[in-house]
Amino acid sequence: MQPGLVPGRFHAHFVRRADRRAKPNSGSAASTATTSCADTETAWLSSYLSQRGSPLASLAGSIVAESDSAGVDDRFIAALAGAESTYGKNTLKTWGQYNARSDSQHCAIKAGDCQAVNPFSSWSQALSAAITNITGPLYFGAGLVTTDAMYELYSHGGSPSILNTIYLNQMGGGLIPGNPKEVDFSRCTN
Amino acid sequence: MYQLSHPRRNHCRLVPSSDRNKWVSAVLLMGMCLAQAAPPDTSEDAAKWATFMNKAGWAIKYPATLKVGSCRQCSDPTAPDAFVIFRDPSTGESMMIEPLIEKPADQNITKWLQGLSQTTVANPRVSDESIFLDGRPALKVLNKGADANETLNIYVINGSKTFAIRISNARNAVYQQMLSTFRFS
Repeated sequence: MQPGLVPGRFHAHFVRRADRRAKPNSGSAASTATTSCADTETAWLSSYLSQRGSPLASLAGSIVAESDSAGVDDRFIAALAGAESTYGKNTLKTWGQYNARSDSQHCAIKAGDCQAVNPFSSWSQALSAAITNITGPLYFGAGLVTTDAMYELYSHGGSPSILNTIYLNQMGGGLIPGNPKEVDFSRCTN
Repeated sequence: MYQLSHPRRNHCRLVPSSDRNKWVSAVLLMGMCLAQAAPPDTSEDAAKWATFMNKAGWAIKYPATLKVGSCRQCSDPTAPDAFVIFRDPSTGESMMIEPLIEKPADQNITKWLQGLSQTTVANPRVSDESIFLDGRPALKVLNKGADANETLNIYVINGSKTFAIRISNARNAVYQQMLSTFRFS
């Protein structure tokens, strides 16, 4: 056994991931059920963001669809924007107008945690980049699949407490069986 | 106004006695007192707390042990459109106060607060109760938390401005005490 591995944990991790994937239906009705799940999730997320006056509310459908397709919980993608910029309502000039998730590779001005000047030109562009980043080699590819593990790297050592408060206590991130902080699953697709 | 209970610290005293049974009883009583010692009475300390004033027109007192924060790009936690969080670094528990959208003029207050409570938190509801917070109508909701704790979510309206006050552990005595200091200006 490799150093640091705890017996049973590795197996449990993948069992839980499988459990956490929402399976609204099976058989011939699967595609209809999948559409229904995505619609329900989109409606919920749109309402959640709208009640907070978020400019991301109109992107709820894209957040759900792109997150499902990539294998990440759409609510985590929304929660990340909440912790970083109050769901896009408070983006600083340094980070850029559409940089709702503080992507350090897409800043408007190189300062502080910002590493590269390459500002987004739309909310949707920033969304796609965030999902690609989270599900890519830096995070999911490196085994960083929980809010705690990801946010330490993402924020250069910052505390994940606000992200966890939003994701777990407001967005119901921990309601699906398994590790409540694990986000590498799609809510509406297998 | 929303009235909070202020559990008084029990004044437990051992009464010297040569009687064995009384001594055993006293030891048991002391154990019970220790078990009931938490949460502490913070009412005396609250007068010394700092006051946080938000530009949206509300203020709250908080102890120096809590860290005040907001979103990563929020340079000013007192800004009216940002949430503010009072976090206890030692426990990870927190109180978040966030602005929500304004109530439409034709919307009934009770329905408005109920609707907000259902759409802004996905966690299952345990109970709810209509209350007043600083004389304003409010809805107090207990939701199931991600852990064993219940979360306390209070939705309050001041004119048309609506706010949510969210406590990660509904039983946290310090946050309960903070809540009793919440005021609109």
